[in-house]
Amino acid sequence: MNHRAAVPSESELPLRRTRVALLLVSAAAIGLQLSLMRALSLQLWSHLAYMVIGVALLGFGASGTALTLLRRRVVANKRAWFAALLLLLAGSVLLVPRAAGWIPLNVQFLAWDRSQAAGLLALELMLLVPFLLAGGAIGVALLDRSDRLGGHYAANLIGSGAGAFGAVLAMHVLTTGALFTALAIVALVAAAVVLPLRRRFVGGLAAVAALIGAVAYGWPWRPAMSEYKALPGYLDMPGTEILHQVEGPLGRIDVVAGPAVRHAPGLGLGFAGEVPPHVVVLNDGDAASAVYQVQNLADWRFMDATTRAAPYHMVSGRPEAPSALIIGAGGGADIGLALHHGADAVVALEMNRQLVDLLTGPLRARGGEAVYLDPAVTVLPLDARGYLIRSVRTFDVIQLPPVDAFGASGAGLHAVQESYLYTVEAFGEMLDHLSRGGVLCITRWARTPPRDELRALATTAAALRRRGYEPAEHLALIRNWATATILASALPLAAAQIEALRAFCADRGFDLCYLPGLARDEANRYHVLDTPLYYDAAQALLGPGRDAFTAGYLFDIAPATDDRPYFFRSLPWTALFALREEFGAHGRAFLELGALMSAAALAQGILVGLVLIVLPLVPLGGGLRGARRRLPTLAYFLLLGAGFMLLEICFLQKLILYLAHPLYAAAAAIAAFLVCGGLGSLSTAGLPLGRRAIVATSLVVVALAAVAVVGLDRWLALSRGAPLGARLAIAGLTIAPLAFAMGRLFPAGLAAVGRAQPALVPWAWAVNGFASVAATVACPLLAAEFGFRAVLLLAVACYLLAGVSAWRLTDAE
Amino acid sequence: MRIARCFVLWLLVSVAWGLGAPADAYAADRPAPRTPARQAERNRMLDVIRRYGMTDETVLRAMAGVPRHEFVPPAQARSAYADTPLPIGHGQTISQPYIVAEMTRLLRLTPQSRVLEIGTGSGYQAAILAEFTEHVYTVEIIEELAAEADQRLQRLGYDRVSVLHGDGWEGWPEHAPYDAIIVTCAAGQIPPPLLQQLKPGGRMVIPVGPRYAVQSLMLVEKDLDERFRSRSVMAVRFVPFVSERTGADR
Repeated sequence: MNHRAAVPSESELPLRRTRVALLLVSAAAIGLQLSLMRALSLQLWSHLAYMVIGVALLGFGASGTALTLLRRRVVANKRAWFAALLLLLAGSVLLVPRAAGWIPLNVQFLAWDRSQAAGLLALELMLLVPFLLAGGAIGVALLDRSDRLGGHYAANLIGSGAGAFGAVLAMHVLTTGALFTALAIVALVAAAVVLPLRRRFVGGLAAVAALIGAVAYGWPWRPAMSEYKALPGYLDMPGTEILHQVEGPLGRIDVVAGPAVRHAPGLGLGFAGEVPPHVVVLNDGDAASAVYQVQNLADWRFMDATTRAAPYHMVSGRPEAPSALIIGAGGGADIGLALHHGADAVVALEMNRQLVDLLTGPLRARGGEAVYLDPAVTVLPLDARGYLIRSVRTFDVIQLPPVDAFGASGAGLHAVQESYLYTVEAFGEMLDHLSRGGVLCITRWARTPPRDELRALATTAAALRRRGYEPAEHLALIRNWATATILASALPLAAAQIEALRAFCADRGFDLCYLPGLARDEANRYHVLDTPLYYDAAQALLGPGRDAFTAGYLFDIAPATDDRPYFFRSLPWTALFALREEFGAHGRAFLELGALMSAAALAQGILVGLVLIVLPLVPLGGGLRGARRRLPTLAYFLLLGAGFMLLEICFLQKLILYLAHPLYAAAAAIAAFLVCGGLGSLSTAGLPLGRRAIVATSLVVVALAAVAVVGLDRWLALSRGAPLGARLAIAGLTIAPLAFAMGRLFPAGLAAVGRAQPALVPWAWAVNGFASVAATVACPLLAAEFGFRAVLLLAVACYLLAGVSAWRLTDAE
Repeated sequence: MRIARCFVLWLLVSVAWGLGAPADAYAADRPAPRTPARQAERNRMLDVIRRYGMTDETVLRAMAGVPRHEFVPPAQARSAYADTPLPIGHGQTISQPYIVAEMTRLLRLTPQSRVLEIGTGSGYQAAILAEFTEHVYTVEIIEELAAEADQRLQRLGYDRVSVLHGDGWEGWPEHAPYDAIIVTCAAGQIPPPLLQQLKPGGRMVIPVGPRYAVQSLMLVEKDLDERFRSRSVMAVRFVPFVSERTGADR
């Protein structure tokens, strides 16, 4: 009888149990990452999401370094280490999010108060703990026999894919606090699966189970929401109450009401009438929109005091009632504006289904019915690009209201967030859906100095040029003190439309900034700037000197495209010094927090990564001093980690547009890459690849990725109008061969290193982790500067060089 | 002997301190400050404000007289005179000193001015306004802030400032019309009642931008015929075109 096979010792890992535990811990780690991103978006802002990704991968990388240094001890007792790390993970998943609330952090003051950096560092260190433990547990499993690594890595990838899917699904039914409890239980089950049946381990399991029960019930997780968000501000006002609260993957919606709760942004100064009673809807405690309780259509007249009303006046001379498309209907104010102007067919797009359910359910009697259930209105829970590509309808007015909050735009909170709504291609599709003489209306918050409003103008002009129109004849730009509105038509603006617009602005005290035939002294009359800046800028942007003007402007106002969809990022890195020169210390007020946080996360990831990669190589670090093939190992796993993440993120971005929903895109991309990668990894199990095979597989990845660089956009464009199911299938099939090949490279390389230099295995895991950190955080920064095509090319280069370095990983077979 | 050494040491430190401190250009005609505490820091703050281009001596004198450190939470006291906005709790801030100075300058206050402030916060801006006129009315919706600011202003001798705990949207109609109104711009809207409470010829100043980082100021003027005209004023000088600054396109 083989005693060792029946009862494995603590130095050996039981094969099946290890893979089940790996599957579970990988799922828990990805689930925790998504849950923490959700929690931080709720407590602070979504720009901290990249910090979580960075911390997670840093934890994985650091665990590799720790295992390199502790390798001998761990190898002697693998199963015990594996189980102990999983038990600690279960506890930390529950405790860390709660303890993180104790850290005093006003991240908005980061540019002003250096002590905030210490708070941020403390938060990162705290969040690092569970990822260090999860990475450590996975790393221990990868210290197993080299012939098992393919299957282990497959379990890791498939578990990660399942975790991503599971977490998003769970967000539909669980609160964020309950998600942490569920993830702790998953980690506990993983520990139970591999636990050696010895008293101290069983006791530990029972203790952690009791801790989870006690903490979940006795210390509920409550988000410590930043006091600078709108919700705490409203709740500070006397008599304010939360009427409804729903939570989902797209965020938490709070509906607040009270005597001091008021929301009617962008009204002209001349408006002296009444704003109807309303409640305010907040997403993640911010980004407010109002639901107005109107009694009749006349109650919407306050909306006619905004610049967004202009297109209805421009089409008012027609005999028939106007039709309107509202992109981002929110609380329904723009639907009300359309109805106020007699629209008899309104299509309202609102992607957040929970908001639609609220307005047609609990808020129906509080104003929802008047807009979302009006017989003339069709509400579709769709993304605008997805709707436009599949619809052949045309509209007299297409309304694109500002989708971000008044303050968020100025703070640069969305600076690293892509938007396929504000691109040349998107505006072009909107222009294609205008009826003859119809008007596209794009409104942005007015800024001093102007930034994204000029970028919107430049983007619209570029869309018109692509269609062969001369933008100067097709565009108008107006503004009041709060908003700037661009009006565009596929036909040259008619004299009657120009007259109507002039009258509209004169009645309300709005400034004309650009209009065919407008004289300079007609601009800048009501909300006065030192110079007629908008007029001058529009003349430049619509004239032959636009490139020189754009290049010379302090902020980035170049047209955004689907390849570089970062409309909200207006401060290029090159402008930082100019900003200081221009505004002195006050220049900090213009820093974009989103980009700043990403750059800080990248710098930190690179710095810590370098230290932890080098640490095992120094004499006192131990472990790797005498090991051979360190350089090819470093290069191979560094390039593989970076290349994998760059490719995955680029495909995810392409799928956001193709599948017309960020969640579907994330789920499809993550699932396809991880599951197909897992299958690729599984295909190497028990079949060690020689260096020729590794190089050949690298070249396959290079070839497939190069095809994607050249033809992915065109390939996906062929079926953008297909039903969702078909597009999901096409997306999966497009990714599958690439991901399969990519999935073979990591375990094949790791097995090769394991055969040649076993001591380098955890180090390779660490190197791969750090490269993944850097690539994930760098990707949006690179794409914002150079576009996704350039990032794809970089990924191709990574795999090409990985193939070259693979030649030196082992000796010839 | 020990006393003599101490005296020499004191003398040296005093001389060094005097050499190191910036020249106090306002000492001659500044009114007696409310408290001499941290006056040197206040003077340095004024130097920073001047570097932003502020030349209005009356505003500078007012800023020199008000002890800003009394208006910030104890945890922020060390940074009270730094060139930054500071958090004061409840998601509210005390603005960067230069912004306070510039907003005050734009109001063009006289001793007869009747001025309304919406959003008392810690009371610092109200205290600055009270250096110009005794008709200062300030409204704060957060009860705790209103009570604390009222007590603080009383304690520091600004007993003519009237503090109301109430909804700033409605203004303070009992004391209207106002020559000047200063209001925090929340979510891109200006309450119509405030515009109505502004006297013809009056001025309203609104900081625009995130609450913790004012980017520009808006000045609303009500004409004698009761029409409104507004101006966007950069908090600091701005030339938007790099080519104009450098003489060449980048």
